[in-house]
Order: sequence, then structure tokens, then C-alpha cells
Amino acid sequence: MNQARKNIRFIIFVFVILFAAMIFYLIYAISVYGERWFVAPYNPRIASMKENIIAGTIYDREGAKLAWSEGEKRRYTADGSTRESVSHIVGDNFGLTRGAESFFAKYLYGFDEDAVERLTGVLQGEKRKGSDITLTISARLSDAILNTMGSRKGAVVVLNYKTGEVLASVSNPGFDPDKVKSYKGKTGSSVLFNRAFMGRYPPGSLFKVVTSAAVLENPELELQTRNCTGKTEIEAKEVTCAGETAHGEVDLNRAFTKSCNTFFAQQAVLLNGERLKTEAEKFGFNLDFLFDDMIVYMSKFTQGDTDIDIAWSGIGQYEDLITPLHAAMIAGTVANKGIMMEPRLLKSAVSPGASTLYTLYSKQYRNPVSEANANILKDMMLDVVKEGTGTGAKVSKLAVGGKTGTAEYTDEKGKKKEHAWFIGFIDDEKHPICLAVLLEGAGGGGKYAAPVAAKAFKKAVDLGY
Amino acid sequence: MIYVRRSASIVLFFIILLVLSAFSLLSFRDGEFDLFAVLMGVGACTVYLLLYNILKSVFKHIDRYVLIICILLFSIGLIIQYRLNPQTAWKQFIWFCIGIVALVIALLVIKKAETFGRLNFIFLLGTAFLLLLSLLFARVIGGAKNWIQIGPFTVQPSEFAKLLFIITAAYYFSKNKRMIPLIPYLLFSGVCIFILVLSKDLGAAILYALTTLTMFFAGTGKALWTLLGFGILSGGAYASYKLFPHVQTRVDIWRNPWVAERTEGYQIVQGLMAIASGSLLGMGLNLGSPLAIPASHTDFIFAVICEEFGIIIGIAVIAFYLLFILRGALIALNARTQFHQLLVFGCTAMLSLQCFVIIAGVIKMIPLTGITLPFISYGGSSMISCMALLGIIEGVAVKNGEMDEKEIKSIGGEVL
Amino acid sequence: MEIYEAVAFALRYWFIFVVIAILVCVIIVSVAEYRDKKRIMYYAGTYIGYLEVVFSKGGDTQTGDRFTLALENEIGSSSQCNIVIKEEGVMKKHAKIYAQGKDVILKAVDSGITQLNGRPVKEEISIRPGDIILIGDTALMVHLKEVNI
Repeated sequence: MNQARKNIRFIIFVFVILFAAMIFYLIYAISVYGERWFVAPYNPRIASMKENIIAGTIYDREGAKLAWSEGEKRRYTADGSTRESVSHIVGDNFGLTRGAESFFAKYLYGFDEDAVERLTGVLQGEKRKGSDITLTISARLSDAILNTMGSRKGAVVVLNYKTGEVLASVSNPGFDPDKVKSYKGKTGSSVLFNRAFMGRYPPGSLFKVVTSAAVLENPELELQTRNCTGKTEIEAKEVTCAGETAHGEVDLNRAFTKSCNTFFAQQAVLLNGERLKTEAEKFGFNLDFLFDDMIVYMSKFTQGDTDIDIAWSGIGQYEDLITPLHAAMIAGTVANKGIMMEPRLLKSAVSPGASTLYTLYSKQYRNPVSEANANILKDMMLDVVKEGTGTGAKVSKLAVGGKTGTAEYTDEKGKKKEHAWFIGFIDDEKHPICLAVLLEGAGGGGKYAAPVAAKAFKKAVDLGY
Repeated sequence: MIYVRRSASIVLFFIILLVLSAFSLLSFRDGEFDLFAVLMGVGACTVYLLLYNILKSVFKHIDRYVLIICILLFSIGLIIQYRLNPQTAWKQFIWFCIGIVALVIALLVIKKAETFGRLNFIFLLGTAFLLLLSLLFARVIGGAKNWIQIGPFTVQPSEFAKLLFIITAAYYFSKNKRMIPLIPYLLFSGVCIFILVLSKDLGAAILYALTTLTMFFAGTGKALWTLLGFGILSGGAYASYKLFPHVQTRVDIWRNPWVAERTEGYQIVQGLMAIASGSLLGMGLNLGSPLAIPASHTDFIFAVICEEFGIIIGIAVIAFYLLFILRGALIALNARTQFHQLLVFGCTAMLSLQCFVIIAGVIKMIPLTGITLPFISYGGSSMISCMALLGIIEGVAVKNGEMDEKEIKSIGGEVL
Repeated sequence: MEIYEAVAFALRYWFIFVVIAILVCVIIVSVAEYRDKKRIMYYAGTYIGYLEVVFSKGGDTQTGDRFTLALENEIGSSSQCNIVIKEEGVMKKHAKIYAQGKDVILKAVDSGITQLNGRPVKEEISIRPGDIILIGDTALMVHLKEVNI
């Protein structure tokens, strides 16, 4: 009997642990994922709340109204181009996209309202009102960017790398929230898709920033110089530089400025896949971005099994994937002394009774490189724009640094194409701006993406950011 | 030396407050006064008062708090059922009353009988018979074959088979200590589990398997054999994952339901949204949208509770089940014969495992299975069998109490 | 119905309060009950029986009073004894009852009247359930647990 007693005690102890684990799991899951689950599309609850509440207004950082309620209807910016440029950030009223209308529904529909305030409101016969929110984006900047992109599909993200604020995030094509239900089928879903936060593209030469960081962090493994003849052979497969241009004698700095594939391919093999993966993960690859203000899909870096795969992954091909937002964050890290700030979208929220419910605060997200190494990378990126592949991004009177990328991919029809990438920053305390430009299938990064970046920088500085 | 048993009246008072306030609130949810709601609330309270006081005075030694916890859980369930659909709440209430009868019968049977002896063999056959019934004659509802239609009612034979199964397990595990005589019984349980897997009632299969293992360990203490049993169980689970596509779907949507959020993952996604909407304090009674969740009144009732009452109350519900388990374990530890010890322990273990599996499935901690939440989910067979299990537990508690009283009296004390 | 919504919204706090109150009550009482039970059953385990007063001349001791018998007992009128009988004729330390193996022994300690079933007790004598002990003027019936230590 006594033995049975001990066994029973033991099993009961196990049960207690299981139940306690269940309670903790519930608390954990809700606090970490709760908001995300709530704002998922097709949540009937948001729709039913809307019938009874006058939703709050969404402002941009300059005070322009982006979305507001007039009676039963929801209204958006009058100017069509502006409306389209901020469409993915603002979202829609039917839960079909994950913009601010859904993500910050908590404020817009007044979920956290005081019970007393609510009762008194009802007794006075008023219709319930939600809170107003101010976003960090600038509508004017977004509009200018959309114009610059023209009809080219892609995304541009502009951040303040000191505070993490998203100054603009434009995904082209944008949509008209009033007509959101009409976007159907494959083209429709492509329009509603937020390429800036959820589009995962091969980074191409952008990844050389990470590879260079890995080199700087493992100095004993640096290839001092190399002679680039335009191509090199790894495991009987060829890795070529763009246009098979021979870059001659290159060290890290020169290879970076000229975006020399053979140098970085060999460097990647020297570092080996594991070190590359570690460095990539320091920069946020393979990490579930659980940002407070937005949903961003995960960037991917797979460690290659063979040398040739590792070589390709080191120059941003193989299975590497990155979102434009993450790319902008990496540029910001280099400019911000190696500190990566969490992107913020919500500037403030004010209740109908004029009390401030929320004010923006900056959060440090990761610290992938030391300040010293970040400064080295920064100088290299300044050289890229000064005399390297990124001269298209030059802006007079501004110290612009960056990295171009030309990412190869195969489209659905089997054709080989290239995404044009540019990530960059302004090295100036008064204008702490960084950005990422992605143009789907447009061609060379230096040729097509860098000029868009230049215009974006100029406009942002003109607006005072 | 006077031992005064503590009364649960104050808790009962709070429960009555809860029920009356909730039903009064529900009574004017549509703008017009709903008399039925108030009647339901008052009716429930009357039944509780009668049940508690009559049982308390007839059977001096029942464990009052276990009873009260069940009454509380049932009340929360009833309130939510009424909110979902007044008709099902009414049916639930009827099942509860029938369940009370089952409780009393089970209590009396355990009080009088000893180990059932030879009868156990008949119980074995009965278990197999009931399970085969559901395999052969059941209609398929929700992908599992466990419901049989008898006239206007649907019954789940596997729920009743549970009772017989626990009794036989307690008997055989308490009688035999050595391994060899136990092998036929273990094979038999394997067969039962297999029948359940064939009926696609995976939740019940897991439940039976885990209960057998825990009772085996409690009864015989053979750790190595238990681990072997776990190994076989895991092997079986893995095999069913490979063999059965519906198991694969379940595991896939457990990992990432958002991919299939409008199709297979719809149920669990809606459940998660509901729980997230409730946040800590809940959305308020009748203010959520629980009807968007399929099976909201049975499997996903926990999600509805979290949505409308809040996660604080959801956690409280888990805590109540945990208290139930602990009190049941205390009764098991106090039992005087090994048979009774294993019997109570088996009932407690089965109820707690049931609770764990379904709640963990709803919150996506483990893959979802289709079993009911005891006392709260809608389901006649579930309610009756859970009340019967409660009756068995109370029965042994009464026996314990009587033995305790004898001991105290023998030193001149009294039990009040 | 807006009023309903506002009231239901406010009542959330009430429901949470009630449920938590119940939870706390159940926990507190369960713990207290467990402790009580443990203590009592422990004593029940260590005590060997009890003495029941069947006759008393009045005063502090009433008929029907019960004294639990531990493994070793001192009977007397002094409050240092574990069985205190404050009556005339009861000495400060009057008698002892203790368990010895399977037997329970009654031992007269002082010169007061100590009788077993009417006969005086000289030194020690073994007692059985149902025996009547006379201590001074108070008569007590012996009840022993069936299974002795």
C-alpha cells in the first residue's frame, strides 16, 4: 500500500506540473501572440464591433487625416495618389489587409475603455467613440516615393535609424481602401499584399553587408587580398562577377565597393556555413519578428551543405530571403553604431476624452556588431556611393552610404530575372534616415534602385526629417 | 476530540449569487424580458441547494468540496450554454438531473460492494461490447464514429465503457502484483484502444491509453514496464500519424493553423481569435461572437469561456479542475483497500487527463482531439458518465469517512 | 441594446470577483481541512482508547465526560497530569495507565482509592475494555481501541 501511495503522489505531482504548464502556456501565448490573433483577417469580432462604434481617426505624423469615420462610412485621404501610397500601412475596414485599421483596432474601437466612462456615455445617449491614433509615417513622403516608383512593382521603406520610426513604407501596387473588396483573384491578392513587410526576396549583393560583418568579427579568417578575374570556380561550378568584369586586386573594402562576387564567394567558403548562419541570425535572420506595432514575415538564411551552396548564400542567393523592412533595418544598424532599433509605427493614441493612451518609445532590438566594426562597414558603404556601384544614389550636400544589390531569381514563366535592390543611410546626426528600395524584376540595383533612393533621401530631408 | 467537518455552504452561497446574477443579466439581453432565463437560474439554484443539503445529511461523510467544485463547473457551463442556445442549456440541465441519479446509484454501489470479484470479467466483456457497438453501428459525426442514435437521443457508448474500464483496471491491478497475470488484461486494454483508433475517436483512445498507464504505475509501481508502455504508445501514435491522413491534418494544423485558416484550421483559428479577444477580463457576457467557432458548445467551450468571461476566469477554471484532482488524490491516499485506492485514483486521473487534453488542444498546446470538458461541455453521455465517476469518488470518500469515524470514536471523539 | 452592453461590460468585474472568491475559499478550506485531518488522524493513531465517566459526585467532572488515553497517562487532580480529575478523594498524582506490549496496565501511585471492578488495586493490574475503574469517588469505564499498539 505504501508503495502505491508513493506512486500516486508522484503521478499527482506530474499532473500538477502539467496543469501549471498549461496555465503558463495560456498566459504566454496570449501576451505574446494575442494581438496578432485578434487582428488576423476574417475575425468576425472586429466587424461586429464596428456596427456600434464610431471608429477613431488615423493621422500621419504631420497631422494629415488618413482615415476617419463619417457617420456609418469610413473615409480616406481625398488625393488618390497619397491614398494609394499609404494604403498598406493604413489598411482597410474589412479585415482583408493587416494595416493600422486592423492592427490598432484596439485603440480605434475603444476596447480598453473604462467601464465607468462607457456607462456614462451610454446613459447620456452618445454613440461610443474610439480613440484617435497618430502614425509615424509621412503621407507627403509616401506620395513622393510612389510617384518616383511609377509603375514598377516593389517596395520602399524609410526609417529613422535612431528611434526606429517608420517614416514611409510604400508597397507598389497600392490599393484603394474603398474598393478593397473588388480586388479578387491572383492579381487582386498581389495588390493587397504588403511587399514591404511580408514580401520575401533574395537579397543578392545586399547580403555582403552581413558577410563583411562576419569577416570583421572573425579577423583571423580574412582573405587579405585576392585577384579577381571576373569569375572563380568552386566545386566545379562557376561564380561570376556582374558582367564577368575582372576587378583585379581587391581587399575587403574594394570588393565591397565594387560588389565583387568572386571575393565574397571565396570569403564565404573560408568562413564556412556555420559562421555565416550565426552572423545572419545576429542580424535577425531566421527570427520570428514579434514587433509590437506590425507583423513582419521572417527572413531566412539556410546553411548550405556544400561549398558552392555556401558560396552562393554568402552573396545573397541560394535560399536567402529578406523583407524590404528588414533590409532597411540592416542599413540603419550600420549607421547607428551597430545597434538595430525595433521599427515603430504608432506615434500616439488619444482617447475621446483627450487623455493620452500611448506615446511612442524606442526599443533597441538587437546589437549585431560592435561600434568599431559598424563604423568600418559604414565607411565601406559611404565608399559604395562615392565611387562604387551606388553612385546613382548620390545627393548633393548629403553624406549618403549604401549597398546595391542585383538579386537573381526565376519567375513563374521560367525566365531568369533580377530584382533591383538598394539599401542606404544618411550619415548625419540631423537626418538619421535609412531606407531600402526593392524593384521587382527591374534589373541592376545600381542602375534602377539607387536613383529612387536618392530621390527618397532628398524628399525626406526637404520635409525636415 | 471533536472533529468538525467544514461546511461548504459559504461557497454554495457564492455560487448561487453567480448563477442568479448571470441569468438575470442574460434575461434582458434581447431587450425583452426573458422569463425562461430567470426560471433556469432559479431552478438550478434550487437543485443545487437540494442536492447539497440532502446528500450532506444522508451521507455524512461525502467530500463536500469535490461536490461543490463540480457544481461550480457545471454552473459556469450552464451559463455559457444558455448564452449560446437556451434549448441546449435546458437539455444540459436535464442531463445534470439524470446525472444526479447516476451519482447516487454509483455512490451506493461503491458503498455496499467490495471488489466485485467475478463480476469484473463481465465488465470486461461489457466494455468491449460497448466499444464494438460504437465501431460497428455509429454514425460519423465530425470525423469520428462515436455516436449511436436511440430514438431521439444520441449516446456515446465509449463514455459508459469508461466506467467499466476503470473498475476492471482497478480490480486487476490491485489483485496482481506480478507481471505475468497482468498481461492478458494489458492485451485487452490494447485491443480496446485499437478499436477506438479504428473508430477514429483518437481522443478517447489517448485517454484510455494514458489512464491505463497511470493506473498500472500506481498499482504496481513497475517503472520500466510503464516506460515500455509509453514507448509502445508513442510508437502507435507515430504509426497512426503516418498511416492516417486525418491524423496528419490534425498535426499540421496544430503546428501552423494560419496556413489553412479558412479550411481545416478554421476551428482552431477561430478558437484562438476568441481567446485573444477575451483578453484578461473578457468581452462581457453575450458580447462576444462565439458562434463563429464550430463546436462551440462542446469541444471549444473553453474558448467561449475565455472569450466572454476572460482569461482570468479561464485560468480559474483550470485551477478548479486542479483542485478537484488534488482532493480526489487525497481521497485515494486515504482509501483503506488497494482496490478502492486505485478505483478513485483511476477516476480522478481520467477526469483530469480529459480536462488537460481538451484544454491544451484548444489553446494549441497539443494537437486537437474531440473529447469533452467534464461537467462543462454539452453532452448527455458525457455528463452522466462524469457524474457517475464523481459518484464513485464520493462513494470511496464515504467509506473512508466511515472508517475514520470509527477510529475517532474508538478514542472517544466524535465527528460532526 | 446599448444599456445591456454597458451593464454586461461592467459586470465582468463582478463575475471575476465571485469566481476568484470561490477559488480562494476552496483553497483555504481545503488546506485547513487537510491539516486538521492530518493532526486528528495522527492523534487517533497514537491514542489507545478512552475513559468515560459513568459516575461522579458532582463538581467539575460530569457523567459522560471522556478522557482520551495516550500511550502513557497520569491521572490525578494536579494540572500536570494529562487526565485531570478535580474531585474530592483524588490525589495530586493518583494513578497511571500505560501500554505494555499487548496489555494496558493500571497502576496505583498514591494512597487514594483506586479500584478495578470493585476490587482495590494494590500495585498494577491489567485492564480490559468494559472494566470500571474507581478513582476516588469517580467511576470511569474503560474503552480501548480494538487493535492495540
